[in-house]
Amino acid sequence: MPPDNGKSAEHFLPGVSALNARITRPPEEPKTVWVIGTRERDREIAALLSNLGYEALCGIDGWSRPETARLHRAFAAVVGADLPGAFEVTRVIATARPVILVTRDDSFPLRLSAARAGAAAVLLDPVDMVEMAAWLQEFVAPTNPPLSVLIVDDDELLAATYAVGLEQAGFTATVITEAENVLEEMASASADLVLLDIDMPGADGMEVAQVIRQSRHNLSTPIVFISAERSADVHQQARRLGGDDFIVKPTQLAELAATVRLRAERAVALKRVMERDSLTGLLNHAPFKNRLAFELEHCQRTGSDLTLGMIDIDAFKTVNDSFGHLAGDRVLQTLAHSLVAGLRRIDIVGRYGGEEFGVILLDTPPETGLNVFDKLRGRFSALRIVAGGSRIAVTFSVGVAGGGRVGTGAEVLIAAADRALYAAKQGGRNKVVVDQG
Amino acid sequence: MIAADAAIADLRRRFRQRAFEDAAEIERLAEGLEAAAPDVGTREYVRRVAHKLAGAAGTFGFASIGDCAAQLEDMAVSPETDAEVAEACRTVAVQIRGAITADIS
Repeated sequence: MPPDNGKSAEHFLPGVSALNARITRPPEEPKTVWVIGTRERDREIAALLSNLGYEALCGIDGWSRPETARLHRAFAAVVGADLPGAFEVTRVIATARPVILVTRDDSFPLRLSAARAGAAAVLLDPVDMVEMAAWLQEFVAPTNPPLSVLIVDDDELLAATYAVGLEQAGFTATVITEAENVLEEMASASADLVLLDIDMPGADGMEVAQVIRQSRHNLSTPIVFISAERSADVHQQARRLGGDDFIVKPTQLAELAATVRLRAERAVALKRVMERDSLTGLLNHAPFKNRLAFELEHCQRTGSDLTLGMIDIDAFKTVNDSFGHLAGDRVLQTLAHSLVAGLRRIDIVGRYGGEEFGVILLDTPPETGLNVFDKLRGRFSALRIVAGGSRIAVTFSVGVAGGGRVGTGAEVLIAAADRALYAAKQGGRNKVVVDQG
Repeated sequence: MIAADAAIADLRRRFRQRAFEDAAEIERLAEGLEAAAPDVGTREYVRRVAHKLAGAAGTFGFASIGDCAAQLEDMAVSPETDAEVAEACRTVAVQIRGAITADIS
């Protein structure tokens, strides 16, 4: 594999770009992990964490002030099971932070002790990087945004009451009292569920449901009818016309929230499966492109910047040919983890195709984006991916293009980034190149 | 939580006010049904008002209003005579006022 011969952006833009990065790219809170008592492996695990985009704090000096400070800074801890009193340490930390216990002993008694001490995960030494990254990602995963419900009911008092009840249960709710405004509302804000009254003047709720279902975009959004209609025939018909559930009025707010949660969560989980790549958990090609178009429109409205990076693994075919497809899969998973961990939560990562990944950096001009990608590139090239007894070094190239204020379309921006990617490959790979327009 | 409770209390207060208006409306409809030649749409109108009340009252904690409104809704589309529906309307209006007044005091 080629050595790290890409010059960093800092080389060309000393000082200025760093300042720029501070101003225009609000940082994420540091992703710090506390590493304790894995002995000689502490530094190795710290290096591994840093390559995945995390910061490692090492060591333990007895329970005193520094320990409390470390605990406050870290969002998770990695504890070596060989450390004397490892389970006691785990027990104390686990009350405040998730703990990953690293052990050479893969026995049931050890796992039982770990579980009793409250360890969130047990990893075997030598540590599988992909597994470690997956756990850490789960710990930092953004708290799911509140589920949104669109309430359509001509009785505004009742609709407002449902809204208050659902908001109290942690949802966000929007109320519409005129059925004809449903489509417009659904186009502008994506509801996770529609709560639809049946007996409304002007348009019958069942007709409204049919209208909603006519649009492919709304096909997976659950519709829950809510009506004082007591006839079983009407309930049956409502379900046939695309309703997922039927709540009979009068309804108690707690019961309403429970039904809505059940339906909405299932729909969101299903949507996730539909939109995400099963190997890496990243957005698939089409949802990634849709997201890019959506973010570009948003940038145009707000005048903010956006940077797109198209990432392609260098000589991926060689990895597959030399080490097998399982090794290739591990490379893809490791890259996915390393991108997600090294970026902010608001940035968007997708698997664009085979070994090509797309990254959208929000509120970031391309000059700053170049720095971000170069850092990711440097980290990834330093990783040694363990697969089937081999330690594989892999690099990637990035094509960067900026859009947003100027009103570039998604297709045009992707073409520009692809052009830059081609230039990076031609220029010797393991490089980041910005499209010059 | 406190804000939500206040919001619910306010919505409930508005519901009570509207229920009083509904009671008056239902009585006006009863008069209409008792006229020599009632309007064709009057019973459908009774059904509508009763339906809305039946759906909402329970959520605001007035199950008894909801129940009698539901009966009135069914009656409006039944073969019962206009006079009988009018009588039911008056009974429901009295029940609404009774339940709301009891709740306020």
